Amino acid sequence: MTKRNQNKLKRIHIFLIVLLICFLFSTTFIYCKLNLSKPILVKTMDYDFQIKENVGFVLDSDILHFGGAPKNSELKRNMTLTTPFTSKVKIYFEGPGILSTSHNNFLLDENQSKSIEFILKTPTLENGNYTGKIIFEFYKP
Amino acid sequence: MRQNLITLILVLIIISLNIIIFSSLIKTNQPTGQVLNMTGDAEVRLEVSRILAISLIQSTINFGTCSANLTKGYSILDSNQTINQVDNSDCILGTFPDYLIVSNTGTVNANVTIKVDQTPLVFFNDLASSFAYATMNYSLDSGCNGELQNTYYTLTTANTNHVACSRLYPSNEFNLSMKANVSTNASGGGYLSITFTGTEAD
Repeated sequence: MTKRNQNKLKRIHIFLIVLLICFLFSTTFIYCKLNLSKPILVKTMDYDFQIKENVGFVLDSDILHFGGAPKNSELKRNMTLTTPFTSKVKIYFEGPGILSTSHNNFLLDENQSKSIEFILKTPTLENGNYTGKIIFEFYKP
Repeated sequence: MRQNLITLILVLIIISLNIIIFSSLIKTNQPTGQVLNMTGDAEVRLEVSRILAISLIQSTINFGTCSANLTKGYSILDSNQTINQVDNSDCILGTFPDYLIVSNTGTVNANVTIKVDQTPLVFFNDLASSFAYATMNYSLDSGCNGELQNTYYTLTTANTNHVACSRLYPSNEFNLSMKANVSTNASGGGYLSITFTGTEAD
């Protein structure tokens, strides 16, 4: 093998190694990004309420019952969340009414409990029974 | 030649590793409720407390647009025309639902309290004007099985809980009436928010 060919081969080796290192770094970066933006756990809880002419209490705790009230009312209920691992918690809602929470997108330490207040407003809904879903997403902190 | 072979093998190994990593990512990135680590799904606890607050913001009890009785110097307006037989002739354009039904539609006994968000002084801009509430068992249903406020109680403070019914069994109900004493010096107007708070009772 001539010296010229040896040099050419050496350059190819260097190029391939640089390419490999770049590939390795980019893969690691994408992996980390995808892994952190993906919840490690998703839990859901149903909620329900009734729009009617009078007031109705439902204190059962199997799901988040907001009871019944006329439209333009504000209904509040609390929930305690405890996790056995440290995580960042995001809360979403799917369903009728305007639902908000006292805490969202927060860090919850291992075995720590957090009381969260859910506030439901019912400005435009007609009389009837309504159901929805609260979604809790747990992320690596 | 040997160096080339080693490089080629190295490239193949790294590409294979990447394919394995990405395959696992594609599999686990699907939306799921299952536990994806070793922490244990069953230990995440969501506990709903047995407390519920219901605030009536607007227009549930509408006394209408009123002019105070100038001869008397005040007008008494009662939301409960049927039971109390109060003449609300001082008030026009009101819709009077008589009384508001508060029921327990769940399966847990409830202790219900009531509070308002404004004092009479703030609401009427007048010291002589006031509002009061009463809770009674009017209906043929079993009604409240605990303590009631069965005579009108004048509310003088805001955001203070007062007894409405200390024990309301499931499928039972009680009734709320509101009364306002509006003097000729009252001004302003607007909405008074009433909040019922239910907690678990014996």
